[in-house]
Amino acid sequence: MTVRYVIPFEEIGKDDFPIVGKKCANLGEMLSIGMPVVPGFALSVEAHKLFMEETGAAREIKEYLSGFPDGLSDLTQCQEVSKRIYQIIGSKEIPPVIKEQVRANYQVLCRKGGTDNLSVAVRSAGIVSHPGQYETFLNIIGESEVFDKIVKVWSSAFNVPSVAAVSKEGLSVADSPCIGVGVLPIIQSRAAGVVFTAHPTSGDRSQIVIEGSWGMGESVVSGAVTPDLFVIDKDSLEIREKVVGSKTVQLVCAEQGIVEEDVPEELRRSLCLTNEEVKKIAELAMSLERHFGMPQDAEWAVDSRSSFPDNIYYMQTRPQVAVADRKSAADKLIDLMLSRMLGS
Amino acid sequence: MEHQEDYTHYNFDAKYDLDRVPYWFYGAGHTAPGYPHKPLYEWNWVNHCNRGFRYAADKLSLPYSLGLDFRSYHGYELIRCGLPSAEVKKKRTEGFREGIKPILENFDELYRQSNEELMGYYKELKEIDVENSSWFELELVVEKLLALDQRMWEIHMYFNCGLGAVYCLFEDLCRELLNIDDKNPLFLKLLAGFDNKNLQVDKRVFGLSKRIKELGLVEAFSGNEKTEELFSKLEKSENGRQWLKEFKEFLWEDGWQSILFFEYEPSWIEDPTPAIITLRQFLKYDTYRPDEIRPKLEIERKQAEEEILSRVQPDQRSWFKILMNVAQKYSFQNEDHQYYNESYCFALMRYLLLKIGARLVKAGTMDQAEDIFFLVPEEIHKALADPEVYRVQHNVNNHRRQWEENRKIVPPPFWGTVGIEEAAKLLFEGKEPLLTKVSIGEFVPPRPELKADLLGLCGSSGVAEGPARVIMAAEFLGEVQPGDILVAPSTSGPWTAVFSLVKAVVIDRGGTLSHAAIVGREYGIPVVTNVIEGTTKIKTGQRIKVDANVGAVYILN
Repeated sequence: MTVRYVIPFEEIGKDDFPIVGKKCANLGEMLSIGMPVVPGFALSVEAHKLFMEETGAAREIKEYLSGFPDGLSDLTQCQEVSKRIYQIIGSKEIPPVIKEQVRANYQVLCRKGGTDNLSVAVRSAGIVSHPGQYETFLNIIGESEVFDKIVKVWSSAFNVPSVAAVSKEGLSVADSPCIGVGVLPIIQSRAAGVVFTAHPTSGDRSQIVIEGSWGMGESVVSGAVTPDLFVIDKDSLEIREKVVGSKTVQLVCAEQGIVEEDVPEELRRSLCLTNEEVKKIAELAMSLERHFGMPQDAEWAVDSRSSFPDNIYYMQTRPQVAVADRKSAADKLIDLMLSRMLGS
Repeated sequence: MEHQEDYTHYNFDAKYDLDRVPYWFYGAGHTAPGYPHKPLYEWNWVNHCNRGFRYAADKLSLPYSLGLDFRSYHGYELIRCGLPSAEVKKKRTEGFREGIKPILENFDELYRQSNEELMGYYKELKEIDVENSSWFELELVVEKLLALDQRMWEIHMYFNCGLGAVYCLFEDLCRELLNIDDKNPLFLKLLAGFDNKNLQVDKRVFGLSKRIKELGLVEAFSGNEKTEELFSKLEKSENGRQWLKEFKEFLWEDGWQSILFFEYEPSWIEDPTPAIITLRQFLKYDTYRPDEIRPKLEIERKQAEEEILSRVQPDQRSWFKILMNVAQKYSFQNEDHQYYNESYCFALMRYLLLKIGARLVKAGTMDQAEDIFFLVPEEIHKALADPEVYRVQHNVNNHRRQWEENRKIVPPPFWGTVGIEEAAKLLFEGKEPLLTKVSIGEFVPPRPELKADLLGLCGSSGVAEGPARVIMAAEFLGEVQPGDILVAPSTSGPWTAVFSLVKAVVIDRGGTLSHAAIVGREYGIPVVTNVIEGTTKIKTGQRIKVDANVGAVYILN
């Protein structure tokens, strides 16, 4: 039996994250519960491993790192090591068995999209969620470009923050974790952004907060713009607050890849979402929270080429970080309760 | 000890029940003298409510309590709190972290899911066609109702005990770090400004009073005729029929309001008179203004939250805030759960059991539909096995005779092999917040310097003066006039509407999280709880002054 290095989202569930990475596992899960997600495919962590072994990249990296027997001492050294590993990985070809499976799946997407050269996003998916740590490429068109970007995502497992993190743990950089990759059709979004199912600052679980801006969602995620803000009451789905953000720039598709553009004056001062879109996004976010059983931090986009309500898409979801704070706070509080019980 | 007929095997027997257990307290809050439980309620109560406590204590892995346990003394409730052995305590302590964590991390979602679960059962049961079911299908309905009662108590006690543990830590820390307790006005502000289901029902009733005006039906409501006469009058006009249609839709959704929680009493579904009384009051007096008061309370709450947090050391703020937010939910949940738990469940049980009772009457098995409440589940099954042949009237008669006898009994406040103070200490060692914060209330320390006629606890801060109106039961709420000060033994869900009419509330029994205290805060009126002798010392019409800030009540004439 051939090992499956490439798996369509339809066949993935949330428990598959050790196989395909967190982001892909969540996308598969979202698809399975009927969320509006663009169906794409995932390259498994095994695919990354096979690439590293079969091309000799792993061996070359090990040899190179043997020149640093005492580990990496400072940031400059980390940068140097990261750069060299990028070069090593970048010089390798994807093994044919993986290429074939990617090709077949890409062609399926192209057929569904009614074009020979479908524009896709190539996204990283670590086994542990590290938002923004690894590379993501948008508006990638054509098979050879897709292959090229997959290799670039893989090399980003050795970017400076990762190298620094691994060496800080006292581990060898050669043992950096392999990651999954997601390939999915791009959405030409009119507006996009993020949604939190608990208020990100107050932690109020009765409210949903949506942040959105014109163009693609990366400008909101990266903090490049001050987005529009919407606060929605969960029970009634009423919009409690609307704050217009300055939204000076937007990311749009270029011929290949994306470019940043100025947002026209009049659009800066108008909200990027209609009320019904806000409510729809909130409703979908609530069903995500219900399904995953905890507050979610998700990314959505409004497709410029279809109309409401079919224009709302979800791009990914993960547990909201505030919940992590809550977890440590809960432990602290339980310590307090226990010390009192035992003291008395 | 005189013979008492066995409704259940939980009957109190001093010889054995005081053999290794040092005390039993009489729970007068649930079963006042003269109001012992009837057999069916008693059976469900002693079998399910205490098991709900055990479920909660076990699931939360509480190291300090096995939960409250009950005995039936001639239909009256006796309670004690089970304390874990050293070995169990050790095990529970190990499990406590995982047990309590979901409450701290995920209360809102868990609570929502539990309410959804209960509403799912209610929805299914409401639609059962009792009239056309087979006898065996009715046996299954009875089993479903028993299972529902059990599950309802499990959910009820899980949230009560879990949130209670969090609330107690918060209260302790407020006392230690900030030097304020839970009767402090700042603290009480933290607990107000939350919408709950009973307030929403109140608002819907107000909406129906506005519809009466819109449809030009005010005149029809101005009299005092009985509900059936009012309805037949309304049936005569098109607008009247329209309003009745809307009212009945409301009842089918939200009319599952039990007036008493300690017996299967008629709900609004069976007799909507209490809702009609409230509607007449809304039409007569223009005092209902939640839309003005509630947003203000919400702002005040947020200010109080900020104030409290600013007094906490900066490095403690992040976890203190989460503690505070979950503790605040305890107050909200104490009121909100009544709708989803006791009220709906008991109203629905009565609704279906009466219909089953009517079928049994038709089959000649017993004389009246209401007799079913004088049977225990085994006897109901016995009857349903072959109703055309069997008779259970002798069971009903025996139980009814026994119950009539029980009504004459005034149980002693306490049974024990230790003194009452030692027993009280043991009871409160279980840290059961339902006792201290809700039903019984805390001990009120004497304060002779206030020279008050009655002293209680501050449930909702503020000062008010006005004529007293002593109301002993919900059926008399129609007597309340705007500007009165309500004096009552205690209050519950169906009393909510009257809070928009009165200036202040004084109750005999209850703590900071009793219905009166919570609703008083939401309507922004002063409430004094736990004055014990309010309804005996105060007479209707007397002028009284309430200074809730210090828990004092003065009789002025």
